[in-house]
Amino acid sequence: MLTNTQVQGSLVTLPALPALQHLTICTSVTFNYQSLTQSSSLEYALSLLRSLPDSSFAPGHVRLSLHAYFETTLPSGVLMESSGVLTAIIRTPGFLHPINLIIHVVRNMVSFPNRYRDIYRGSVDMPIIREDFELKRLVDEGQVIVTVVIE
Amino acid sequence: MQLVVATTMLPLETVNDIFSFLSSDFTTLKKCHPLFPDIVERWLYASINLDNSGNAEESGGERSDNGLTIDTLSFALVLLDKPHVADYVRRVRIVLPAILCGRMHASIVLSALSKITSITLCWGDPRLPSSEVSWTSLHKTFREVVASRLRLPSIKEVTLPRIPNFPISLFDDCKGIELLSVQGILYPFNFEFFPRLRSLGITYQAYIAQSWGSDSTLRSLSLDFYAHFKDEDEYITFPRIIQSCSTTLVNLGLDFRN
Repeated sequence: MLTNTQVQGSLVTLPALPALQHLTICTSVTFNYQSLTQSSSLEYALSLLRSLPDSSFAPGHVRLSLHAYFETTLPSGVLMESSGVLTAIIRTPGFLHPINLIIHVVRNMVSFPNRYRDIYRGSVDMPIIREDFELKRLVDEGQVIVTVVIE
Repeated sequence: MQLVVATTMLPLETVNDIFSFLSSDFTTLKKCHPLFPDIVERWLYASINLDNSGNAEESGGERSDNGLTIDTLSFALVLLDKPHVADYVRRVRIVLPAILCGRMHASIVLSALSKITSITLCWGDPRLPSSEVSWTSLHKTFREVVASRLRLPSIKEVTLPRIPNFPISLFDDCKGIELLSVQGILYPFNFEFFPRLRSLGITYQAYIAQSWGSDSTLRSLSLDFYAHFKDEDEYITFPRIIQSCSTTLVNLGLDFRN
């Protein structure tokens, strides 16, 4: 389980960028049958975001694209955990909304049943969103923009 | 019918302006082609996506940011019938076949395009591991044609996929490039190669910072750490790159996916 304590500590900060208008940081987290695969790049991206002064950018001009990869069908327990992890990431201090949440469903996994692809395709009302009330609220309020990609 | 008559009585400049709003609506452009062939062809073929993977028929009638998707051989036949169309093409995207075999028709088409401002190469599906497809695996004629097109004075935008062994020396005489996007390593990188560069997207590795050269006037920078995020030096060194263009940078993208 990823917690805030694991993403603390900024390794580096960006230099002063007086002309900068748009900053996009893209990172990823992978969920598989057992649990999620923790990503060193995710920790780094989060710490970089936390290091940004809140006053540096106009609202909406810092954009985080969080790619969540689901490599196989998930038991309900892991699914709930996944929702909670995503919410924990999104609510990490330093994030400025809205956030692009891109959910990749890997199609070529043999064990991934077709019925799940149909549920996920083009719908934000998917289990991964529904399982966590806070995440659902963020989506409903437009603070998290969800895109589902069937790969 | 009255609309058609009324439209044909308009000055050509006005009709051209009208079609400019339809530049990515290929279905409408094709329907209008019989009435205004000369004007429509300028917009229909301004941006082409040469794709032999079978996607041409599926997407040819839709709006697309990639331009008009057309089979390479079909477009070669268009040029055979109407050679002047080659001068209408400004942007070309070439989907390279995943399995390289024999002569590539794209060489013939690309060699005819002398007014292009943008060239994009990308791999088609199914993707092979990039390490298996190097620059030298491509047909010699195709490589020569690509090199000659990169040197066109009109070229301002270049996008390349991950192609191992792509020789950076091909950019030696490409002084007009303003937008460059390269998946994979571009080393040694020096801004002297690209005096007009304003937008750059590259895969980052720590040693790139060593050859980065002097300050730049980049307005847009995208660094892709996708495949090489195991070296902690990358965390530490990439701000040097950003520092070099800190006063002019408007857009910054950092991709930490791995």
